[in-house]
Amino acid sequence: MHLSAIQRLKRFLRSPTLIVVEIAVITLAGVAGTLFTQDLASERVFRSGWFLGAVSLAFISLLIVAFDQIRQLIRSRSLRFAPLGVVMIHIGLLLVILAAALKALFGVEAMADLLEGETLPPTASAWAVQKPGKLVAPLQVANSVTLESVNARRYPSGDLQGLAVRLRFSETTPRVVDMPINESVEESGARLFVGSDYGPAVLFEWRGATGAVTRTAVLLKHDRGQRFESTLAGPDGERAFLRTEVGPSGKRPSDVEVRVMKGSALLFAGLLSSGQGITLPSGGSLALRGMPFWVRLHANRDPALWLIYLGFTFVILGVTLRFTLSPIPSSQSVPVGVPANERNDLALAPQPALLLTLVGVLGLTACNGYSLPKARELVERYNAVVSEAYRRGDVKLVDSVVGPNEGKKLTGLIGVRLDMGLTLDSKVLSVEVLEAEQSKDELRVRTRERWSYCDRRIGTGEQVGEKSEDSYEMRYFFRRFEQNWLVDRIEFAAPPQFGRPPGTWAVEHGRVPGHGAVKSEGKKERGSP
Amino acid sequence: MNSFILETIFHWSAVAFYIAGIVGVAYALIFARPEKSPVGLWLAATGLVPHTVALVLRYVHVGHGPYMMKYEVLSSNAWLAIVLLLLLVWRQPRWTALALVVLPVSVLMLGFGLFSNPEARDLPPTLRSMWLVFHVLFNKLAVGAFLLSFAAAIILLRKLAGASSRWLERLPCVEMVETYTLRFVGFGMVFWTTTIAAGSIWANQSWGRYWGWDPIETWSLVTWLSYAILLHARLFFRLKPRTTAWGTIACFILSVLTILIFPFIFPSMHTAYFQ
Repeated sequence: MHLSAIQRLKRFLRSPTLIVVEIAVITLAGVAGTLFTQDLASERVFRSGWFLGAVSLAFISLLIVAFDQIRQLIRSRSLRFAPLGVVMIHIGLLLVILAAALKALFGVEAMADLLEGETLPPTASAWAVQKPGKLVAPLQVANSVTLESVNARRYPSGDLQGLAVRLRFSETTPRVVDMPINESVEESGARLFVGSDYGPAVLFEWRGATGAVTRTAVLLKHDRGQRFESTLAGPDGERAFLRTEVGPSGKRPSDVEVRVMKGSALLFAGLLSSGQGITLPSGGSLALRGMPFWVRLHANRDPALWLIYLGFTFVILGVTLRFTLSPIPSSQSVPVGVPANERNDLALAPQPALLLTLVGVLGLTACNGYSLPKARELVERYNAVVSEAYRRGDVKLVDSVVGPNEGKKLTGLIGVRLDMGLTLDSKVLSVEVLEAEQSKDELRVRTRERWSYCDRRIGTGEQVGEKSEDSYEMRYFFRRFEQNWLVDRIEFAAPPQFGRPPGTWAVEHGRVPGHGAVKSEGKKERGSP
Repeated sequence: MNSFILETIFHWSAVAFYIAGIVGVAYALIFARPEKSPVGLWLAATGLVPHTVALVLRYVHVGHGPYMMKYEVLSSNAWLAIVLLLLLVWRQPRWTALALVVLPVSVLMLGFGLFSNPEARDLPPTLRSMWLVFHVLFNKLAVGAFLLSFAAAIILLRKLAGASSRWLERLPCVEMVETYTLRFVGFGMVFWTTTIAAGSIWANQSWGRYWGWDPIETWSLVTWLSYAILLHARLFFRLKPRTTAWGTIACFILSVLTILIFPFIFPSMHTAYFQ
């Protein structure tokens, strides 16, 4: 009786319907997973109990099927490619699932950002991020690792061409290794490697109004072209926006473009080199102590990596044997030819592929058509970026939202204000998208907007002139540049309503406060954290 | 004359030859003159010459294989699909009718590529790996094999619908067409499996993990599993040829969505390279 129950269970687990349902559930889970962002998909689908249950059930079914097939293969005592191929596919898939499970339990990944000259101690806590498996301790390497240097080359376009780091391991006999991207170093059973994440770092010493000193290494991230950017919060509520460029030679930059803001006020804008500093209106100061490169060092340990490669090998050999070297039998119950009177039935019958195509086409059409909320999103993004560019007096910010025409216009408008020692502090009060029309490469959006404006003096942030609340009806012309909708031009769709009379800006001639107010604090120095 | 203008001239010459080939094959098949079909096939084969030159010029110009940008990826996909077709009809002349599906789809693919952004993109260092070459090459082969299975499925449906003409009569019986449809699916499965495996090994080398549920990775698995469902369902439930043909068409559409459409819809690391 007991045996019979096991047999019934076994028969159930290897039943064709269950097997097809298992594959279908995993397939649908994959489809569902792509509807979420990658992190959410991992959490809600691929690490969920139901998905792991479905994979486990499929694993057991596959195990039973593979076991039976191996037994049949041995009994048949003849080597035929078709059954051998099928067995190999199934064994390969079992190995792949097993390897993934082992990695989830015993694998570990870690990551740390290192500055040139910095040493990573041989402790688990030295790694900024650790992702250990369920049954394994966080990663720890036996020797400390020092990042001696970062060597990068960039294409003239600014894209990364090559990156290699020199690492020193503090073993009994110190070992120095040059490691480029796509190569790795073994250390205490872990694999160390680097990706494309690297950039210049800025070592800042920020003295607050109270005299307290904060030393920070700011890692600048690649923005576009040769440009690297980041921000830093100051001790008295300031924010420093930092930017520098790394040329094709990949040499370490010698200075950084700094904009210090407090609220909406621009306190300083200029270039700082190592050893230089500035005094802020609050009485605090900011000094640049060095600009080394930083790089993100990865480490992982996966005890089942060989198993997954073995699984892949089995699956590839299996499908090759099954589908290229063995016959494919035709189905037996095929009526040869269909009577002519059935042809209409064929056209009227449900057509799954046609339905799928239709759904696909509809989906794509929906993706291409510009709905009002999407148009609103574009306009709001443009407004947010341009407002910030005016506020910071930094026209480079707008590169991500405007095309060359509008870019030139904004360069002039923002530049004029900077020359006058002013920045524009603006705020959108309301945006209403009235219509959005899309042709092949152009998107026209008409909006009604209310804005609040005031001018602020660079250096003090003091408001200049009156505040103004204006109302516009605008027409935006977006053009597609490399898959992105950028603003090509903007025009008024109706005469604007100004809240204050135009021409009330106070023009200050002479030096713009903040610009070039750089004091030298000694020679350029190479920094270490 | 700069390299891009030459590339464009060669590409459009190839398109002209392919279209002439389609016309030649269509004339032979529609007007029941099978003996004329080699003319169309030779025209298509001649088109491969300027097409190959255009791809070589592109390689010389950008300094890397056709891995990035729709322009070069679609052009090379079309090239490989046509090569596979011509190899097949060279070995099996009775299958010339497949050209009526494969050639137009390839020309559409090529045309779509030629109207996209032809800008040369620099190869990032993470892409400089032998595994990328395997990943991309087998992906293109899979596209070609699935395209042949799609064409065979359409012919199978025509035959099952009772359509009769001299060119349909020249093709093997329904059972054989069905078997060939599955044979092409099988070839596609071999190439697709290798694509996924090579991609995984490369991902482990560059990003430290062989599988990360990246949307395009996931869709490639979904496509693989969909073909697996089709093959299992046919085996277990003795699907009729018509159902098999529709299943093959549905899976082909899914593979096209995975390769050509989804990279533009879902944010993925594949998107960055395939713009």
